[in-house]
Formats: sequence, C-alpha cells, structure tokens
Amino acid sequence: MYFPHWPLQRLLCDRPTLREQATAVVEPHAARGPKVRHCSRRALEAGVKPGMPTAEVNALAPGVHLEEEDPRRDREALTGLAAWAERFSPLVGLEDAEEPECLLLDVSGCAACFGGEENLLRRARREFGEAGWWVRLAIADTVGAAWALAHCVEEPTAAPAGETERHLGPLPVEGLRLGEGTRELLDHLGIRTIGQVFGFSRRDLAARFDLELVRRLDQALGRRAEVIQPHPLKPEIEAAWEFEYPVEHLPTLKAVLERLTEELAEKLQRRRVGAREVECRVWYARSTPARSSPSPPGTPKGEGRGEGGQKRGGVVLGMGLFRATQSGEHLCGMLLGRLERVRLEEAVVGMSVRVPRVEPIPENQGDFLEPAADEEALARLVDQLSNSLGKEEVVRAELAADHQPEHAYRYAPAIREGRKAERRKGRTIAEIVARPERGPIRPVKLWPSPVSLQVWGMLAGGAPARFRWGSQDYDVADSWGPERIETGWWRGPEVRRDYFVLRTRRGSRFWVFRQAEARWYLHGAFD
Amino acid sequence: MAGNPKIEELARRIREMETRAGPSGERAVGVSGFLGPVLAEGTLPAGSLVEVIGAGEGSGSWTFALLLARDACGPRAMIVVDTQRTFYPPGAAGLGIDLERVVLIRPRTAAAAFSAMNRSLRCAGVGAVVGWCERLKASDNQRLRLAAEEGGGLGILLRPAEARGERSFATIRLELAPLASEDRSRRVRVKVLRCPGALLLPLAPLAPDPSPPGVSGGEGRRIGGEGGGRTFFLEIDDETGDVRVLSALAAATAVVRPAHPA
Repeated sequence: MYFPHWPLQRLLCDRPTLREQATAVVEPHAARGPKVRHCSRRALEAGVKPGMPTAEVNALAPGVHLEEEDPRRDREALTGLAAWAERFSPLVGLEDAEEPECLLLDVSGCAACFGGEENLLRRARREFGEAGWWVRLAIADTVGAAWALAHCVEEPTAAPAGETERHLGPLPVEGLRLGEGTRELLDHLGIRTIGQVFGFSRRDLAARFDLELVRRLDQALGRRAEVIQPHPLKPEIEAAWEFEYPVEHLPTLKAVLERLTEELAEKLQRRRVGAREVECRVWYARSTPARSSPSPPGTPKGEGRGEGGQKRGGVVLGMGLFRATQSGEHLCGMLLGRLERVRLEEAVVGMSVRVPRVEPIPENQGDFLEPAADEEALARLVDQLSNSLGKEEVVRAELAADHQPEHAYRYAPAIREGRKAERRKGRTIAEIVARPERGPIRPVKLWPSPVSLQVWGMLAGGAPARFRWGSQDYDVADSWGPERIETGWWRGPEVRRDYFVLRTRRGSRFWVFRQAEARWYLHGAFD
Repeated sequence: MAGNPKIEELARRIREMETRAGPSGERAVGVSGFLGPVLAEGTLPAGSLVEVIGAGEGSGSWTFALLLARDACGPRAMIVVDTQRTFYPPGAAGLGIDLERVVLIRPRTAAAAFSAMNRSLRCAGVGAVVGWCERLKASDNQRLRLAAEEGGGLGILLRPAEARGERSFATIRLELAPLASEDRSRRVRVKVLRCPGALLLPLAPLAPDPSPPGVSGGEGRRIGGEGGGRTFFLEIDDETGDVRVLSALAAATAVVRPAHPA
C-alpha cells in the first residue's frame, strides 16, 4: 500500500482545514536552504514545484501555506494505519526506509476471505478512500515487485503468481528502489525500464553498478528473501525464574533452564514464529540480603536492583541459530552447552531467557522426497558445531566477483543466515555474477599466503623447469600459462602476477605465480 | 506429511530407487562414476567410510574426494572439515560442487576436527563428510565408521601416505597417485587396498593388463581376494569436473557425469 506524498497526506489529515488551501511541505535543512518536498494540487496550480526554494515560493505564490516536515509524526501516523490495515492481513509492516511511505502486507492465503485478490484490492481502496487516504495498491509475489507496481502503476494491480518478470519489464527503473546515483547512471546509459536491465548479463551489472542494483533485482524477482517486520512490534518472548535462595548447583540451573525454554517454546508456537536468536541471563547478588528479585525486562544489561537496592551482576549468554526453531529441547541444549562452559562467580538468584529475534516459521508444503527431519537435523548440527567451535569456524562460502584469487570468495558464519541446503528456484544475481560458468581453472587448495619458491631453469612459455618447495625438488614436465592477474592501485600494494599451472614429472599439479617478473611463489595445488 | 506411514513408506521406496539400492536392498549411495570398476552395483551401502590415501600435495586426492562426495550427497548437505584451512571455494565450484549445499568447518585443533567429523557423520541431514586426518588412532577410525553407519551418509577420510600401514575400519581403502601422461590430461591411479568381497565386481577370467595406452608407470595388475591390489585409472578434467574411467575393467571409457549441466 503506497501512500503518495505521505507527509502531505498526513499533514492534511492532522489539520483538515489545510485541505482548502494551497499547501506545501518543506524540508528545512536541505542543502542551500529550505526547499519544497511535497505540494498539494492547489499549490501546483499556483506554480509551486517540488525542489523549489521557499524564498522563491514566497515570491511566486505568497498565499501558499508552508509547513515543515515532521518525519517522526509521519512514522507514527503510518504505524497507526498499519494497525488499521490488519483487517486485510495479520502481518502488516512498514517499508524498510528512513521515511517510509508504504505499508507492506503479507496477503498469502488472505485473498480467499475477500473473494479473490481483485476484490481485496477494490475493497482496500474503497475503505482507505472513504477514510480520506489516497492509496495505490498492488499485489505480487515479492515485496520488491509489489512496491514497483504500486509506485509505477496508477490502478490497483494484482500480478498473477509466476508472472512477476512480465509485469516488471515495462516499468521504469525507479520501481527498483534505487539510490539517486544508480538511477542517474542508468539514465545516462539510456536504460529507462526494468526490462532493459533484464537484458544485461549479471556479471556486467555487478561490474558497472554497485551491488544495490543486483540486490534490488534479486528482491524483486524473489531470489533474495525480504522479510516484513510486523508493526506494532509484539512484546518480546521471554520467561524468567527467581530462586528462593541463591543456587550454585548446576543440575538445578539446568532443570530451571529446561522449564524456561519449554515456556519459550509454547509462546513461540502460539505466535507461530521461530527463534533465530536466543539469550539467557543469569543473575547473582554481589552481596546480602539473601532474597532479591531479578530485574524486570528492559533493565540495562548485566545489572539489576534487588529489593534492598544492591547492585547485582550476572552473565549473559547469547547465540544465533541456523534456522528458526520452535523446539524448546533444541534451545535448551544450545544454552546448556554455553552454561556449562561458563564459570559462575557467585550463586545465582535468578535466570531469564528471551528471544531477541524471531522469524515466521514457513508453512511450505514439505518436499515428498526430502523429509523435514533431515533439514532439522542439519540445522541442529550447525547450531551445535557453531556453539562449540565458534560461529566463525562453521561457515558457508560465497563466491565474489574478484580476480585476485584470495579475494574471489568470502566466508560467512552459517548461522548468520539459515539458508536451506536444498535447491533454490534460481541463483542470486551475485552468485551468478561471481561464479564463472566456464572460467579459468582453479585449484581446490589455496594456501592462505603464497609460499616463496626457489626455481631453476625455464621452459618455453616462461614457467620454471624445476622448483624446490620445502625440502623437496620437483621437475616440471609441462606447464600452462601465463594467466596475468593484476589489481588496481586503489587496493593497496600492487598485485601483478603471472600464474602458471605446473605438472611435475610425477603427475602432481601446482599453481604458481611469478610476481613482477622476479620472485616465484606457490599458491595452490590441484590436489 | 509427517506421521502418515503410507506416504513415508512410499517416499522411502522412491528414494531407494533413485539412490539405487544395493544388493541387499538396503539404502545405498550411488558412486558408479568412481568406483564402478570395482563395485558390483556401482553403489556403496549408506553409512560407508571411504579412506583415501594420497601421495602428497597435488596428487588429486582432494579432487577425487570432493567429486565422490558430490555424487553421493544427493539433495543433502556436504560437510567439509578443512583442518588445513586450504579449501578453495572457487576451485570446488569449478568442479560443479554447489557451494549452497556445503557447510565448511575450520577447526583449529585435531581434536576439534575429529569431533566435528564424528558429529557430522552422525547427522541424518548430511549426505557426505570430507575431511583430512593427519593422525588417527584405530579406535577413532572405528568411531568414525560407526558414526557413518548411524548417520547413513558417506564419510571420506583423506590420509597421508604414511597411513597406508595403519589399521583401519573403513569400508573401502583406496590409494591414489598421480600419473604422468603424454598429453595434458590429468590422470590418477586408484589402487583398492581393501573392499568387502560382497561389494566387489567379480573378476573376469584371463584378464589382460588393464593399463590404458598413453599411461606410463601404470600398475594394472588385478589380484583377487578382498579387492586388494585392484587398480583402475581415472582421468579428471579440471576445467569441467568431468571424470572418465580409463581401464579395461570398464566395458568402455565414457564420460561419467558432467559437472555443469548443459
């Protein structure tokens, strides 16, 4: 649901008398002085335009009412509308922008209640119109596509499932939610529609524009997930326990933790969400009296006040999860593993567990041949390994569009993003760009730092005839190359390497390079 | 879907058919591309442990292991335990390995690496685990075998040449060595150190020396018994990840599986 010129609409709703006047909303701290951002039809008829300095407005049309923008009030009002819009969907959120102008609704499964998507759109438009709002509506498979349609198409539009690309093609590139710089560059190149963007190879898009373009394209086409943050935010999911007397006995703490995580699981199931992060706090008193209360939610971390007013300390154990879960047993297992490794300085007077981040549990139909139990088992394994080894030690690899071998990939913690291990509908643009379809061959092993080599002789083509690595000498039977790889000066120390694949007389294959026509290094092996 | 016994049974049967159930009818892992010259059904029982003894850096053992894991994984995840921290994702991607399905574990100690392998092998959601083990006690070797049996995936242990004489509980033990060739193709010799008789292809009578032409230093002799001494040759294309079997044991050499779908 897109509310065009939302700050103006909100202002006119707050102060209805301004509807009869020519009104403009002003950005007071724009570069080179206050400028108009939004103006009413009457103001437009008076010659006022967005971007016009207020001094010029006063000179041109002194009767126009100028009002300074109020982003805080705009957001509050939109949040209020979000609550009202819950009549169309149980999941309503504001668009993720500094100054949102849209409400995002997940209407999956809701259209039937209104007799279809077209009826839902008609009804929403009518009801908002009757309440005095000017709204543009669209329904599509993805947030990005719906946003584009709502902004670029006047009439309410419902793009049928699976036809996103066809509906996006004719729309202007502004529908992709791009920054000003990217839009200007596209315009400079004569690229005006989203369909024209489709026509470029993905490698070119990533090379010529910043990653924002590929990210937005991915979001619009459903290759990158976009989550709606519900508004208003529901109360945090948490459970707490207070001991009658300080406890040091670990089995007692474990029993309480089990109970608290069971309670969390019930709350998660009632809300139909899963935990992506979980946190356990353990409180202990630094001094008597023996009885004190755990701090209520919202108390600053690590501290609390007992009934007697003494400061208390404690421990906070937090962790992310590979996949959203509602399993109390799994949450308990993860937290227990951490708790057992913590050295408690004092006896414990209270514990609490909370879920700082939730995600909806997808209700996709399970794949017939790939039991959900396998996915769950993998998720638990990743969580356990990340918990015991550290999240930086359990990673997924992502290719990067970089010629320098050591920068051609990145590692990201596996629990940062719980992507499924199964097939996707399509690769993300970044993945396609970074992954050479049939690029130069690369070894399966790469040393973290190239190893200096001693070489002798030279073959035709420039490769060494013999080299020493460690204590062993290798005679080279054949070589491929050179492959020149060099990077720009802005990267730092210049990289200009000639890479060769060397095959030794024994059949082993190595990847070496010559740096600046002088030193030789071993970088990898085709092991 | 969960909880419907008829549907679960049907799903199990389809999975078995697609993973080519082994001779006993139990679930199996299809690895025909690599071990077809040796295995009767071109499959390994689910929950097998394969020990690959390499001949040093650049010999091709990691490539062999990753391609074997790729074929065995199916839709499940692949775990790579990268103790040496030399795994290179672009190289693996070039072999046709889907990095989306790979979880990489980079432990800092041998004990952590063993624990990670053990737990990964026990996980039903994991199709294959590949890891390097410099040193491995016999008891730990056995534990890994039991873990693989519990999880039902394929465990692939990469070992140094010095491990050849160690006691092992692996289902299959292979020794890899690179071969010099007259052209630029990459060839490796795979010697079967141990394979259960029930899995073996029967030996053909009066078998000639199976060393393919153009291969120097090939051993090619076939010795009966528990697969000991059987040798075959593979040609690996580093550009495409294709693997060809080069041996008189196979009826004809053929491209086994392209790494990049057409």
